[in-house]
Amino acid sequence: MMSRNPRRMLARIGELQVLLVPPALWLLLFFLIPVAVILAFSFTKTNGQGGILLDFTMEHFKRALDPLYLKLLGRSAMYAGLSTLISAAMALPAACFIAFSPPKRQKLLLFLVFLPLWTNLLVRLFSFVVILSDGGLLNQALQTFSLTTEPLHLLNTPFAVILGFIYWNLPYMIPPIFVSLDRMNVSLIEASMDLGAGRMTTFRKIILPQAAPGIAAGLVLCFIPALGCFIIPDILGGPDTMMIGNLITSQFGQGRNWPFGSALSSLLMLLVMLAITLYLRFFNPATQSANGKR
Amino acid sequence: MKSWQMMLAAVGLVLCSCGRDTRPALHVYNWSDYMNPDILAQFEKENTCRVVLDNYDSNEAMYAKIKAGATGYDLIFPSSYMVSIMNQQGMIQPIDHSKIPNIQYIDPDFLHLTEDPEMHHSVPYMVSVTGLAYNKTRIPDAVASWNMLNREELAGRITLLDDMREVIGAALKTKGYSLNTTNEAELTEAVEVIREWKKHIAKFEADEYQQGIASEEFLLCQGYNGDVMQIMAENDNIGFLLPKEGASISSDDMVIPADAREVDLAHQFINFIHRPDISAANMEYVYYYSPNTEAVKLVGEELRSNPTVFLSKEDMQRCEIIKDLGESNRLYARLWDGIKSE
Repeated sequence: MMSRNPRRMLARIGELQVLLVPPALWLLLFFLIPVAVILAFSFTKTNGQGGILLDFTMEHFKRALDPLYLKLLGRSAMYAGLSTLISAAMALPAACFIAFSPPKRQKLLLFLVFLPLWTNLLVRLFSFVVILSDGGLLNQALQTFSLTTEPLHLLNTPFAVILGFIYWNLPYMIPPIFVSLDRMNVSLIEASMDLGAGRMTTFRKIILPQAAPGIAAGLVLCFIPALGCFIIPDILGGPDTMMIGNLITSQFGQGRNWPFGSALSSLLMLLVMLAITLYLRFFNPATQSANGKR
Repeated sequence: MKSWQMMLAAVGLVLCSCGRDTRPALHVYNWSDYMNPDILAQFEKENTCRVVLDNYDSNEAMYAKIKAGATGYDLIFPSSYMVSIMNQQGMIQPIDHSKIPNIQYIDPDFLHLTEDPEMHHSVPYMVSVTGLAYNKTRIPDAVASWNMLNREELAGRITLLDDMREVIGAALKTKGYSLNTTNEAELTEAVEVIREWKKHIAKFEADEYQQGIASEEFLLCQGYNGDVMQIMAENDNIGFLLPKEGASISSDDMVIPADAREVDLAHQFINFIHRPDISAANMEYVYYYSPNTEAVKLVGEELRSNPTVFLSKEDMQRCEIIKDLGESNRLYARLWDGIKSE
């Protein structure tokens, strides 16, 4: 039982703050310190052989702003953005269907959404190779049914990379939209229809505003990891699909230039932070819909 | 009571087994699956010691680990370019030739291609070359030339290594230049060659090309002879060509880290590895050429007549070792980033 004495209650809350120590420590140790180290590295000089010299320099940031690398950044944003938008368009109807299903089927469907996550992404990407390659399952099927004569060149193209991203995104896009729709009062839809709104109007005016916070969360959850991803373009991509994540990875390996890799990472982090801040400030559907009702 | 006794017995057993093995331990840090396990067992027996193996999968990973302070290794097998880096940074120690009599068997023709021909701080272990793996039935008119990479009919079924020095090196060789050049005009020409190649390739691939060429997904791949030999052993339809314009040759060398504990034992191990019978047994297992003139005579006829593993003298002289370029690495990195991000 809580004491009614306000002072003692405050003291109790103070005690509860102890619970924050483990996660705070964890974040400090495994997030803040590594980020600080990367930030520090990005201002150091390289000895040209993979080592780091503790001298201050801005050369890596200057180099990162070369049009060559900006182009890579633009391509990464394009792939990540396009695939995230397509995922959202696919996830919205799916989430609606799941949210309006009877509870038993709902559980099963959600289980199916999460099912792919039980297998390692690498394994799933190699199965895409099996499906998409020139002699792969898809091309075999197309040729068996005489839909094509020559194999379609699908693997090692931007198409395959974006497809991979959409596949990767869906389990992270459907649940947040589902959650925001699940809380919705279904009678709102009935009321809307009863009052003469068509299906499209009901979708636009009733369902979409409800789903908006979920969509917003899904966009962020999918766009950011896709922006820095390197495995998907590595496995499904071709000679022209290098992304910024591949460039960063190579700096820590064969490029033997940790400071430059760190500078690129820092720059990417900065851009993401900036974008998220702007997004939350000016374009957050969650606050918009909440404000709109007032 | 009983479980308590069992526990005590178990602890006692563990303690005993720890304490009993007083043989000195040689800590070897090597690429995976790169040494015949039988010869390791033999070395342990002959020298009453233990060999503790640890593996890495790239020179950079190994270098980063050692640089980050990993100690306790007595023998490492870096590729030549990494050997010079480690040597410049004082990470390895000189080799004492008096402790390695078998060093006399090392192939002088190969040694004079290397950066450490006197074997001051490294002893060659295995040699590999980069060439072209191809599908024999699908490319019946294959020729040993890098220009195969321009074949229109193979478009989309070709891979190049995802390795800046190998790809730029192959292009430089195609143009007749040294693959260690720092001449910008020559490099610009090489980049033009790669731009043409890039139109025909499926991707830059360093890890999966073996799988790809075995499954006919790829028909022509730039690759290392040892990797390709592994596929050829199971698939008669795959061939390997060493381009006539020349190619890169490299060796993985045995080096002793500066802070090694079992320095003598490490020397003994190098000597053992180059004992002709041992070296031959090792070659039969890993399918790489170990530059040991006596050992080559002991290798089975089938392997010895294999041109993919054993290069002719002329072939070898057309090859060049990839050297570390120091400051000029940046120039290569810039060109490579340009090629890949286009």
